[in-house]
Amino acid sequence: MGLLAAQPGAFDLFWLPLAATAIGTMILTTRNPRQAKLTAGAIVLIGLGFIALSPLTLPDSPSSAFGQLLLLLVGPLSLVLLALWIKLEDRGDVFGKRFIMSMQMMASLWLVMLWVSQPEFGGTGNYFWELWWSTTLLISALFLFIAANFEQRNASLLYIALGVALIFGFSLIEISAQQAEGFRDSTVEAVAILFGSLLGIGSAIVCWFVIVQRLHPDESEFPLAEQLSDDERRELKAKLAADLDWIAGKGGEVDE
Amino acid sequence: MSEGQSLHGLALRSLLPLAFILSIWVWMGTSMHAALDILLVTFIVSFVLTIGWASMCSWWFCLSRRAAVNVPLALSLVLGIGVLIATIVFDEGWESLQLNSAVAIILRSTLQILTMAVSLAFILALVLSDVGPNAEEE
Repeated sequence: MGLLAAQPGAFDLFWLPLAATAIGTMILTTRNPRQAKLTAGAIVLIGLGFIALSPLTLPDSPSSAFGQLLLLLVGPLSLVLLALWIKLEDRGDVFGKRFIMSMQMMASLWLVMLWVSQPEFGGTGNYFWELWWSTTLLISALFLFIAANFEQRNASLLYIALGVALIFGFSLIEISAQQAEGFRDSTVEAVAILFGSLLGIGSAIVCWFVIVQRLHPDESEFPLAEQLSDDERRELKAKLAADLDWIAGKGGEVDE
Repeated sequence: MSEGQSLHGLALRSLLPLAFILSIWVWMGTSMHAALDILLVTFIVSFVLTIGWASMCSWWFCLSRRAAVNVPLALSLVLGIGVLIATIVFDEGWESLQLNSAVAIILRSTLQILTMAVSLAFILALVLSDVGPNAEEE
């Protein structure tokens, strides 16, 4: 309570909204009533707003550099999500496929302009922006390397060359030698974070799976099953089947 | 990918160009000393975060839909053990990371993982919105 009673600090203006965003995302991505999802969506937007505004509300906090990253990415991400929405909603005949491609080109150009401008936070380069840039190039290159395995020889070599050019090229064309060295250090860090995360998340998912599998046998027997009449048993099966159909068909409201 | 090529072979061929680039950078003088520390820290923190997410989902299902309480309790126990191990391992701080406390290391690593997640989400959105090279106006 002392944290909340004092002048708002990093806990109130950054970490609490981040936790609220995580909880809202959990509710949005799991099966819940529509009202709960709307509320969760609002919580996520408000939380992201607080985090994005943290460079202004908490200019001295190192964590606000992450908020500045989100603020910088609002523009390009909006363009890409708009293009994705048009494609998913199958509105390409209304807007035209060239509109989607132009959105993607503008987002990429915007990112390149940001890279040239070298965003700063607290008088030095924004660490999270540099990490995000390195990670994006790294993941793009890895996607190209993986896709090369599914192509014919000439196309495969082209994919690999493009992936190598993405990482290696940017390490050579940085504006100064110091920035080139910084890009290499940032990319090495991105490799370590990527593989560490994959190992950690994979181990946690295996642990989760083992726990659920070990504990579920205790729930396999329904204690009242033998006391059901034939009609009640049929009605129960019909309700369970309707439930499964709802999941399969991604149906609407959950009956309370 | 032709028949008979395994997942291990796919992973090896996909990572070979990256290993080539990193070996050139090591020859150019780029330091890899902190990479192992960052990998270990990220492994522990991402494990804790994922188990934390799983236990949060389990408690939500337990409280909102009257699901069994044994799974969330077990996940919360694993989460507690994970946090305890992380705190003990990070307690003295890590010189290579230039951070002096367990809380600082965990929070910074959390933001690094979130940065990577934002990057992955951006690329997936870009790839999924792609209309292909032969797009024409209808």
